[in-house]
Amino acid sequence: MKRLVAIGFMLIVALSGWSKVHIPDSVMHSDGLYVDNMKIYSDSAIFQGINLKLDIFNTIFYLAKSKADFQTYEIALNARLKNRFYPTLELGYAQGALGSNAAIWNGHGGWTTVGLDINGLRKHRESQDALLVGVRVGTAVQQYDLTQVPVNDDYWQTTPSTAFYKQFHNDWWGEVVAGCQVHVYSGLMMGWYLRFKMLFTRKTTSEAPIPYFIPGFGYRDYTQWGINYYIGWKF
Amino acid sequence: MGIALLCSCQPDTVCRETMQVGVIGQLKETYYDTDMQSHVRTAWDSLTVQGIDSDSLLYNNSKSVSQVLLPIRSDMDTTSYAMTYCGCTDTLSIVHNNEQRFVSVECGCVYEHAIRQVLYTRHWIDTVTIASNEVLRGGGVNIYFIREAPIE
Repeated sequence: MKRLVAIGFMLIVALSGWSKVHIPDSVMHSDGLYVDNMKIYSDSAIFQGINLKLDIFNTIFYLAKSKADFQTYEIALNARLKNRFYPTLELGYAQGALGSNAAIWNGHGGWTTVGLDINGLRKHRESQDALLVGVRVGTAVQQYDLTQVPVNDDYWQTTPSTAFYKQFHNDWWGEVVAGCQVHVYSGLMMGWYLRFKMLFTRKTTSEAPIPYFIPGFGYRDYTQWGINYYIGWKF
Repeated sequence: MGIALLCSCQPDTVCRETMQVGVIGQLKETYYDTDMQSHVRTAWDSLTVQGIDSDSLLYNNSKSVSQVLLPIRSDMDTTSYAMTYCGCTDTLSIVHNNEQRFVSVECGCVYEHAIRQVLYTRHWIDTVTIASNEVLRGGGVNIYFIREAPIE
């Protein structure tokens, strides 16, 4: 596990460093300026392209942590508006089994978040890099089984545990995010996000067992932290 | 390592809720002093209780017991106990419904019950009255053991 984290960290440092030393090639074509084969939009253009990003950190992290019992996948799509505003749509899917001291969650579900990031870097026509802060609203729907749920029966000990099958649950949360994305070469980019998440659906009036894991949010708690490391492509 | 900690934030799974569920019984014993004045005693001065079909005692010659908590079987609809007081043993049988209730992820489930009927022998017990037939988590008194102590 430590080795995996160390390799991931070195990858981040190495690839970020590479992006800094790379000197872009600027070429003027008939339809505008291109840097590393990427079109550079004029400052007056509102729409300046789309970024499609794939989160690799959580996929690898959860695969390693759960010994391949749990998988999570996430893609993000954001549009560049005036190289300042980045309306963002993120989609994810998780499936597998995760244990806790109290029970075992086995389920699958999808989530989506929508929000807006603002690029804090000074506008530069040829720069594709961005330092981002933003907010998100997220929702997840899941189907799950909760098994080995303990039953309080210390004296008779007739039913040590019970299980709930094919349960459905929907959760909502909000996020504050901060991160960056850097241009590497041609359309290739990478970046990371640090996320602070606040669960809105803390209480439930339902008497059904609520899942202790929420795809896209993490373990059910009032707040949760998250991190993404993306690779992506600019269009 | 910090990244790993961030992404593995798992809330603590310690249960902090009251999870005890059982029939709560209280004594109402009328006794007379030397002037033949009647008084009501609400605590057993020595009580032994064991669930029938169980090897362990719930109360073992316990002193000054103001209330008994009688856990109910979730796998059957009748739960019986042997209750020894003043050197006499009575059998108390509670006929009940069982309903599973999920409390929380940390605490798991409990069974709550509804008392349908109470059956008992009458060695030291005169009467058992039902105060509340709902046996809930954190509930109140369900049954009273009514007894009139012999005049000494």
